[in-house]
Amino acid sequence: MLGITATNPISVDNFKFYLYIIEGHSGALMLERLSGKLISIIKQISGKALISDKNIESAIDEIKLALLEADVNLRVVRRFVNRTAEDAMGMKVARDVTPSQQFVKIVYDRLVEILGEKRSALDLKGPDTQSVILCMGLQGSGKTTTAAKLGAFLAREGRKPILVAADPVRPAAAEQLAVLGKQAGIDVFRLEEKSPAKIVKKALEKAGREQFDTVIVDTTGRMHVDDAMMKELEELKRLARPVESLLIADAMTGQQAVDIAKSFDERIGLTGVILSKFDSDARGGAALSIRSITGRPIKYVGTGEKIEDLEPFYPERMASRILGRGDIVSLVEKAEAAIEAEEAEQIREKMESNTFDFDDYLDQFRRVKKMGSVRSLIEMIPGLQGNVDEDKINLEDMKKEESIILSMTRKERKNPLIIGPGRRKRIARGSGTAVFDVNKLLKKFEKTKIMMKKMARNKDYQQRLIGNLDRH
Amino acid sequence: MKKSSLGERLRSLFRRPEGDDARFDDLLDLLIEADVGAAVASAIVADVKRESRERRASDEETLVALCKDMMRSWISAADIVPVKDALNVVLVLGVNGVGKTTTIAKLASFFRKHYGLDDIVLAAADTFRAAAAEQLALWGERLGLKVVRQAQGADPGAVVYDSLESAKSRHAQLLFIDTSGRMHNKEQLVRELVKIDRIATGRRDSAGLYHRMLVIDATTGQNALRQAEVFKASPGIDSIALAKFDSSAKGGIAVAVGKELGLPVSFVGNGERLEDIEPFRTDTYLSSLFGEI
Ligand SMILES: Nc1nc2c(ncn2[C@@H]2O[C@H](COP(=O)(O)OP(=O)(O)OP(=O)(O)O)[C@@H](O)[C@H]2O)c(=O)[nH]1
Ligand SMILES: Nc1nc2c(ncn2[C@@H]2O[C@H](COP(=O)(O)OP(=O)(O)OP(=O)(O)O)[C@@H](O)[C@H]2O)c(=O)[nH]1
Ligand SMILES: [Mg+2]
Ligand SMILES: [Mg+2]
Repeated sequence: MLGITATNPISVDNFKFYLYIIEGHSGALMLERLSGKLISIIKQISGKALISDKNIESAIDEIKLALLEADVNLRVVRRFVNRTAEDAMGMKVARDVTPSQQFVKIVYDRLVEILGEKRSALDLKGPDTQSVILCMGLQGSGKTTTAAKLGAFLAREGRKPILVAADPVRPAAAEQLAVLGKQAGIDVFRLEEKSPAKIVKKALEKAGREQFDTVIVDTTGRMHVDDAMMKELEELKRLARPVESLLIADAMTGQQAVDIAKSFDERIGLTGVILSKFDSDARGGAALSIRSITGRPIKYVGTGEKIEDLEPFYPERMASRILGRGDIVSLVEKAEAAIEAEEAEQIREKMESNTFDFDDYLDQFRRVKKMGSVRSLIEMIPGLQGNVDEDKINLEDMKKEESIILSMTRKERKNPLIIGPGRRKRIARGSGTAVFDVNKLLKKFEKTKIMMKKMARNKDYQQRLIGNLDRH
Repeated sequence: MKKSSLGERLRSLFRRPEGDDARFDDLLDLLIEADVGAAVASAIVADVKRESRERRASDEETLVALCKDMMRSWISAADIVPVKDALNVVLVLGVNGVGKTTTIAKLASFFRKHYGLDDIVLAAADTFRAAAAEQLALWGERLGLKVVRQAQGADPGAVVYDSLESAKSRHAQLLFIDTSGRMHNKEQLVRELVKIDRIATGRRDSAGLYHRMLVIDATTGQNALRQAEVFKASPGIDSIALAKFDSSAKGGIAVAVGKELGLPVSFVGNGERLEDIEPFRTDTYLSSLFGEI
């Protein structure tokens, strides 16, 4: 609908509200533009159908196929889809979507949940102690490149990393790391030596002497079925005692991703995974396979050959990419819009009956925050670019408002009218703001409420907005 | 070993008494788990089902034989036979980290041994990746072969040009061109490859072979089909080399590539040592796919 992608779904209501919060009354212009769409969504009220075995049968097949095409492991696909279908049985279907569409949306949500749960960055010790990061994986998976990327990233974060070339097998492996280290301006430890254990030992000594707080060890590529090589890695781990043992896995990996990740996790013990070569057009089902088999978080993705091509992992993007095909993604969008419309309807009812309170305000707030940066939000809405004065967007204000609301009692949130001077003082103190700020928010809230109520009630006004929107 | 365990599984599955349908489902699973791809696997099983009903035979051997027959009509082996007394050129390409450079070293060793070629030149046209030329140079040193290289960041086209001139002037019999790993979805990098191909085509010895080899990593899933499709369109592909076949992966994507694109397979890589390569044999490949090896 609004050119909003499934990776970053927002409802019009959120957006309108958001603009209102950040711009106060000057946001009214935007509000008029957007309200037409809002109203058309609000018209859809929830339907009566329930999800059943029969009505999602073909959706189940289609999703299984899509996941397999994305290289999600067959066993993982089966378990995931069957379990999700079981959980979805009997769920209410929004009126504007079919049961299968709604099911696709549920699958998407579940995917995001599985991929994203326990999402974490690197878990390193403080800079006064030494943290070792051990990079491992199959041949050519991207270990050496990723080690250098991590080094550069951590150096930017203010740490003092050293890269350790502990791959004596692959020709010119140490030289490769040395070149990359030089490009990134990071120290590299190398040694003419056949035993990786000796290299690591010496590297740790040097790191201790010279106060490197992060030791990133690049190891030889190895097949998980190569027992001798896996033993060697076990020993390396015992010796290096890493705080992070990372599997560097190729995003293009097929069905074997499960066995690979499982072997490394069982024998070495992983703390996380970095998915390399994510800039390919592979759908990356390996991510789901690895995640659901090992439970280890995917910490970063590699998005190119250059040192700076390392990005955080976004479960929503991954989920859309795995589901992949445009038609499925648009289904997700549609279902999302319809489901959010139901929520919007609840808000509308509240506005109309004047029961819209600070809890709802806070709820909307949090949704908006979840959506990411203001700039990217604005870019997503056609026609809005250039229409919003970015200087007016003040995230600090938003944070302030949030902490003010959080300092209110439940009773106060439900009924702001009871907030007299005494309570205002207490709230200001509790939220570390000034009474002036509390007053400002209360005033803004009242205005918002009036505005919303007017919109929710006035059919003519709505028509005018729709007309307005059509002209834009 | 992993391949035999698949075979055992297949056999034990086929021995299950649930009747035909369960057997076909198991066959489907096995093909999918071998990375043949869900769509191709379903097509195969549907056909096998039909055939086996027509023949009124659904025992294990019949089903496997039917599968293999079908696959044999798609998959073929490319024999690369260098022309005597001419300069033969092999351009090696593929996405990042699949095994191009190592495959070149192994191939050089293979052709020396089996065709008695002793003047082989290696061209380090990967001027992008850190220490790529050093890697090839080390292999060249081990093999005692000339390696043509330039500084990192140099124009790969210039390296190719140099290497052809050098190989011609010394009457070399075989030239391998190692290119940077590149994602098929990066247009500019694919264009660079087209340029390299044009230089090689223009400057090569027209009496010799010119062979463009796409290296595919056997652990790659369905994306390998995309890779083959794009590189087949530009610069064009004469055969596929399947590297890392010593992994636990079955390399089933070669079936899909054969079916959809008709590309033959020339070599199979079985490890990291020079001797770990062998010419592709359809029957051997199929036996291993069905776990008979
Ligand atoms: N496009 C792309 N290429 C990558 C990425 N990460 C690594 N590469 C490339 O993949 C290839 C292999 O990367 P390496 O870092 O050498 O892999 P490795 O795991 O150290 O390989 P071995 O040491 O031989 O096992 C190189 O060409 C890298 O430039 C990535 O995120 N995107
Ligand atoms: N086990 C196994 N490893 C292989 C095989 N072929 C290559 N390798 C390993 O895979 C890794 C990558 O091989 P390379 O030859 O550097 O791959 P590449 O395609 O040239 O990589 P880039 O130039 O960085 O794109 C190295 O560690 C090789 O030793 C194989 O058949 N089996
Ligand atoms: Mg390496
Ligand atoms: Mg290479």
